[in-house]
Amino acid sequence: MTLSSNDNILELRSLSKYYGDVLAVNDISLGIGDGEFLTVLGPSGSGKTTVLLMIAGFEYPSQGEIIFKGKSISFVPPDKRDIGMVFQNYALFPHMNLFDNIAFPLKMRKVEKQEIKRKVAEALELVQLSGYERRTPKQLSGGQQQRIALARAVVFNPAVLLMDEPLGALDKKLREHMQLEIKHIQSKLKRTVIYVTHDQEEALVMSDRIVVMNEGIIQQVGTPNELYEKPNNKFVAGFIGESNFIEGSVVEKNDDILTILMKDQSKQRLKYQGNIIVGEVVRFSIRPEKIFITKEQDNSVDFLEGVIKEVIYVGETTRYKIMIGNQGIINLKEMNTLEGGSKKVGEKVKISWDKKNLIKI
Amino acid sequence: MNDAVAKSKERPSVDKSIGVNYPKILLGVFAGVIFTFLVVPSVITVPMSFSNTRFLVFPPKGFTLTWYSQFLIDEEWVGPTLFSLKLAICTTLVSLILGFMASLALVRGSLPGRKFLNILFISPIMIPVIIIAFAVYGIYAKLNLIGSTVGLVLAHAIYTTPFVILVISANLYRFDITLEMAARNLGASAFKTYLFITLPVIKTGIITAGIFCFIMSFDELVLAMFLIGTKRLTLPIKMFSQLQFRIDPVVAAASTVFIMAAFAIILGLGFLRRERKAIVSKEKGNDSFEQ
Repeated sequence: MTLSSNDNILELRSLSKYYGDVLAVNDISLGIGDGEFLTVLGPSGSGKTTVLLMIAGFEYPSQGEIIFKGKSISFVPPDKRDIGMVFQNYALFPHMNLFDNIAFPLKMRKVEKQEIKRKVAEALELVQLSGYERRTPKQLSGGQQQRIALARAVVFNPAVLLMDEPLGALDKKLREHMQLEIKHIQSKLKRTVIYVTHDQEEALVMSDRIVVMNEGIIQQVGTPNELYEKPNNKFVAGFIGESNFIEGSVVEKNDDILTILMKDQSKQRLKYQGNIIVGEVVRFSIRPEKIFITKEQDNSVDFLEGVIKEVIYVGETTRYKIMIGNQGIINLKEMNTLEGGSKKVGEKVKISWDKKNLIKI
Repeated sequence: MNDAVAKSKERPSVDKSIGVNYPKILLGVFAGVIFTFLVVPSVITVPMSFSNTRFLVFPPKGFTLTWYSQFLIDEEWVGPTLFSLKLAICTTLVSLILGFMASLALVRGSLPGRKFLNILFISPIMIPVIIIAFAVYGIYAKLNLIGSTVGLVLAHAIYTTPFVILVISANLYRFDITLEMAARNLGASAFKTYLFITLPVIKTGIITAGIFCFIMSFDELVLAMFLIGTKRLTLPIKMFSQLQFRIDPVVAAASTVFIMAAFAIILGLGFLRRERKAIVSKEKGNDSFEQ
């Protein structure tokens, strides 16, 4: 986590927000670099939207400070902040045509008429809706409305652009298309974007860095790769992608092979690379696609033995649910590179993984 | 494809059922009866206003425009008419401003006891006007407001503002608050946001409320009789007293003028709405571009 560096265009310092007795945002500190695409990811009620509203100026922090370009803006009214925002429901003005919608922030800034015309045309071109000036928002599809909202939010050149679940109302195909388009526009304009979503896939696709929030607290900050490969805690491991959790206490350590006493009192041998001491109570996490079913003739000792309980064929992959011991279910994802679903329910299998893929959390 | 859907909606299953559409005819007849019941009593004054007799008679006899010229020229009629117009315009303005602000407080505010306040603000609707008139008379007598225009405007505002609050609150409840947030975010002050976003979006509600107010005030008799004093008359008082002493067709002429005015307003609003719809659907037909 970067705190207070000179490259940061925006900084949140020990930010908290109470609604009555409810603590919606709990002591958050975060620096956002110039030109960065930062996503705040979390389930509903995690406080992510509250953070965004505080940055936009629609909520004032109960504690802490927001520093924008080196100055505190914690209590500056929203219209004096120069921070653009795209709303989830687009919030296009229904009584204005698209030209007037996009021209609105320019008119508020008393920009000269010719200049307004030029900038609006530019913005429309940016979102590929040139020639739509005279239409009204009602005449547009959801995706088009979203683009106009984007054009309106960038036309006055704000240093930071906030986006609150901007694609939430679109269907999956269009959403994926718009994700890339927003990303392209962002890199073209070199604008700082703070993007709020509950969709972890969207966060992974779009972000330079992701802030994972839950219950008003930042759980982890990192690049998509870091968050996926090295989650800090169980929440992050479970929220971004899927994870298997293995819990128990270490009873024996032999190089990279641990013997773990599981909850169901069975002992399992795990491959793990890292510091660990005998007697420690641990929780490991491993991604389903990092586990593989070993070949029959494999004689190595570092594997788990289990029975296939369920086989789900999903086209490009096959998912297995494998019972280990008496109660532990391990999810395993296998690419259907050669052929799919080679194993059957009830079959006994040995599973293994590369030792660096088992993560202690 | 959209066109096909729209067309099939316009003509539901007429082609399939050969034979007479009885329910539809019945509905038409029913609507006609109700329309007649509501409108005929007012419209009946129209022919009477042209009657070449010195008294109101039906059916009218002969044809003359005397009564119209008297209504439009005679100071006895022009004075009260202009005063009533002035009264109605002032009442509408006062009532819209108060009603809008009260609605904002009731819908958006965080006052404790908002529900109770809401009922309190609406209550004049439920109290007979004569009671309000009597109460206000007592107060105005002490304050020396009897006969003052300001006093009468305020009294009318008591009577009309609840309707404004009802209509505008309903509009504000439906109003999407993120529009205001967007405007603020784009650089509009709170005041400019109301001016350029909130008010235009709920414009229809405000116009409706305004027309309500205007008609209620213009038409109001009881409060005016109590509070008008001795120097002036409003048009309803003039018509009322005229009918008591001398039943001549000027009253019918006056009524006709206002029926026409009301008609014009309704037609105008209807046209405005239809025109806007037509523009929208025409442009929608052009293309349905996506990506």
